[in-house]
Amino acid sequence: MRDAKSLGVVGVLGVGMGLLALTALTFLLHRLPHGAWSLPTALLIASVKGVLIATFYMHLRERRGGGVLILTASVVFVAVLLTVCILETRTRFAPSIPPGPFPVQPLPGLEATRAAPP
Amino acid sequence: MPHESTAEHWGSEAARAHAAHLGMWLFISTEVLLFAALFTTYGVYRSVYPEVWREAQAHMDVTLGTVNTVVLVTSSVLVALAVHATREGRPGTGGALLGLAALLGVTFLVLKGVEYAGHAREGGLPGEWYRLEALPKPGASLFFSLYYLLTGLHAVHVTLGVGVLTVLAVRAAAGGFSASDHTPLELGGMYWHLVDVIWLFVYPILYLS
Amino acid sequence: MSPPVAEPGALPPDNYLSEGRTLWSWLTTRDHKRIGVMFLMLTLGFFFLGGVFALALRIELLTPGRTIMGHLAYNRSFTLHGVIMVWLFMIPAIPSAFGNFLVPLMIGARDVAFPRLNLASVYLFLLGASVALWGMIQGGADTGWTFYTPYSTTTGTAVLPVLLGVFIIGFSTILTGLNFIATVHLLRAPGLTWMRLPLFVWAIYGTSIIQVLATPVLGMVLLLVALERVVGAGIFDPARGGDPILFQHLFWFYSHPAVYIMVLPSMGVISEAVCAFSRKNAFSYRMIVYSTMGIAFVGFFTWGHHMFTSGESTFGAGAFGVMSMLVAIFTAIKIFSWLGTLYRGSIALEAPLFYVLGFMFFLFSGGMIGVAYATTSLNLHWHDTYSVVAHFHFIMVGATLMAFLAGLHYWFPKMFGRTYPGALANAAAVLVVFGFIATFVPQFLLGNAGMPRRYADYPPRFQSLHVASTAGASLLAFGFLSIAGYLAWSLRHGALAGDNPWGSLGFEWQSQSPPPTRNFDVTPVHATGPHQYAPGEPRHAA
Repeated sequence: MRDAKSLGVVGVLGVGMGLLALTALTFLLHRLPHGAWSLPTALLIASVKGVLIATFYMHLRERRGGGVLILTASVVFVAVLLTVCILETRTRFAPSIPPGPFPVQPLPGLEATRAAPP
Repeated sequence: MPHESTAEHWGSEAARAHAAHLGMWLFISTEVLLFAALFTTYGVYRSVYPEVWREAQAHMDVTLGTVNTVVLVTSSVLVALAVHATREGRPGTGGALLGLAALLGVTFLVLKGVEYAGHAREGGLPGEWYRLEALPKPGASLFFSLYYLLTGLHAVHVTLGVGVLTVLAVRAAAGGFSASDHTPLELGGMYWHLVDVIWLFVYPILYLS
Repeated sequence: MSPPVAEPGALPPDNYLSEGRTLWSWLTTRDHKRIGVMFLMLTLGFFFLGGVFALALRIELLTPGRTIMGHLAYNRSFTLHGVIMVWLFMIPAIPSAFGNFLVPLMIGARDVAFPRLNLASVYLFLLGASVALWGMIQGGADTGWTFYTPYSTTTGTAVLPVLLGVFIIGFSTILTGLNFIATVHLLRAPGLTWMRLPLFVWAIYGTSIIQVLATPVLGMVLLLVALERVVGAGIFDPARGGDPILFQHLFWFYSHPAVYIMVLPSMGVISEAVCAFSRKNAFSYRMIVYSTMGIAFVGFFTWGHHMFTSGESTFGAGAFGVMSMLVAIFTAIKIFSWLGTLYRGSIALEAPLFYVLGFMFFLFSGGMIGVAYATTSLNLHWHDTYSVVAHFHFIMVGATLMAFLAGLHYWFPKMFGRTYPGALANAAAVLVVFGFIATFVPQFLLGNAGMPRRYADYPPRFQSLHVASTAGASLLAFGFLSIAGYLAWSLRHGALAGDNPWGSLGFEWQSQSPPPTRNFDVTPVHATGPHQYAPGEPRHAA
């Protein structure tokens, strides 16, 4: 009933090859010296792989509309959560996370909740 | 399932399949947001402890991680092939491919267990149990906590996915699906692909860069 | 003194209530109407329980020093009051009870998209509530409903079952939200385009998006706290380099939008009731829709205003403050729309309209004060005082409660086929509105004078205001009990309502009251939106 848009065996395998090639690429890039661009590049490759899988394997290509909308919305909200939290942490006036200007003390009362680790 | 009432409920089988897909996408979005909390924790602490993070990453087993990535991607391809085969009217082949994919899922879990054992020997355990002599800095135990949380939650999803794939494989082998009626297969496949995609993001941030 | 019994027992025979009278038929039902009624009963029960705790708190605060309980008992009581009211009453009350009952009726569907998931959400809710209440029997948590770390990870009270209960209830709301989104997308009747949807459906739709997208984050962060308690994962433990403020970020990423999970459906109820009781179509329908979606979206960018004093960056605080003020713009659009609807309408002063007016008062005054609270410099003075308590009781609780009661009185005839004594209902409405004002206005003053929240004790100079607040609370309790009394009486003995006692043109009233299990014999076809009253139509029928 949706043959026109269904992927053939060649298509499925082709996308699979692409995914494996991108995996190899991200691994090889890791062997190069690490720089500031290493994480963004790796995440970009992961995103490309994710889009490939969502489009071809998770049937987004055949059923536009709802799925695309929902996926976009969730990606947007993940981005909001991640960006805002990191931005706020990085712009603090004085570091509130150790190692900060204060000595770190163990929290009192831990023994009341569970046994100490070995 | 009361078929006569659902047919009236939805109007047609195609509309029902459409609804099932929409519901699955909503479920997937909740899964994405579930992991988002952990990714955010990772991002915040990475931005606070960049050096410690790099040193801690050196203790990851990149080989096993990469092999596991290839294993998961391959199983995803197999699931996609299984859906294709079923659509072409060969549900038996589809069932076999699903079984293979489930086996690869088990392989993934076994390799993950080997990896965990390695970390445990080294002392790279989460939170209070952290005993890694080579890296006694604040923040390093956070990396390992997050490593276990991310991979552990993912492993729970892999385990569930293996269960789903196995059930689908058995149903396919028993002739439960046909070219026109295979929505559960598509949905189960989508779940497995989701598990794969999440790993594709976990892999670079923990092992590579 | 028994009121006159009018025409006993002659409801339409083929209604959903008569489909099966055994308990089993209710427990295994997939009928959205029965599930809605079950949620209504459950949430009302929890509202009563939370109210009991509220009264206990108010009695303790009647005098300085110990009145009826010690500090730990007080801490546990306000935690249980908060947990029960937020998670067991306000979040599920309107979406799960009225939403389940009405959304399919309003869009001309036979049921929600996934009826079995819908039933599952009832059981998840019950399971979560039982686990949380089991924690209460274990002694109860004393962290407040916010579970802030590091206190929640170190206190010796029964935090774990409460966390777990809330976690499970989260899944129940996710299932409900998922169901509504699919229902509204896929099951609208022929002709019912998006811009003809009843405003209540739009509000539930916006709410569902928040529920689906935000609840998983809450689930994860509660899980992290639980793991920290059980195995010492140390994610938020400063001794291991962790950041307790990150907990607040993740917690409020859900829990601030959760305020809109409560208020957006309330706004939907008000939009419906305003149209029905002024016999006019909504003034600027489109603006109400856009502002609903606007609130749902902007609501995700404001969570940091709960954390102004936590050590949050000044940049973050400023940005969050500005975004919070944006919400006021969308809210004002709605208030002006409702006022525009009321203006020169054919007003029927029935109980639901009293609550609508109360809602608008609380939303307006609480909202205006909220803009002041979003100003960081002013917030430092009011933070964690009774002012904040009064503020959120006005805008979140007051608004939600007013809308809940408005909906309950507006749709009671729809749900049960009977009406309630009108004069009594009007009197109770006035009592509740003024009781609410009397309870919380003294708290604004207390907070401004420096009384911090969550303390069982206070200096004697605050006593007069505390006594005033407790007196208001007693008035409120009396109002609620009288509502419970006449509604329970009306279930059996109320006058028969007929299909549409209000003469409303809302889509839900097109079916029989109470509706048959199939909702409609013929699927309705819509050529216009709801509430298209002809100008000059005769006044209200009842």
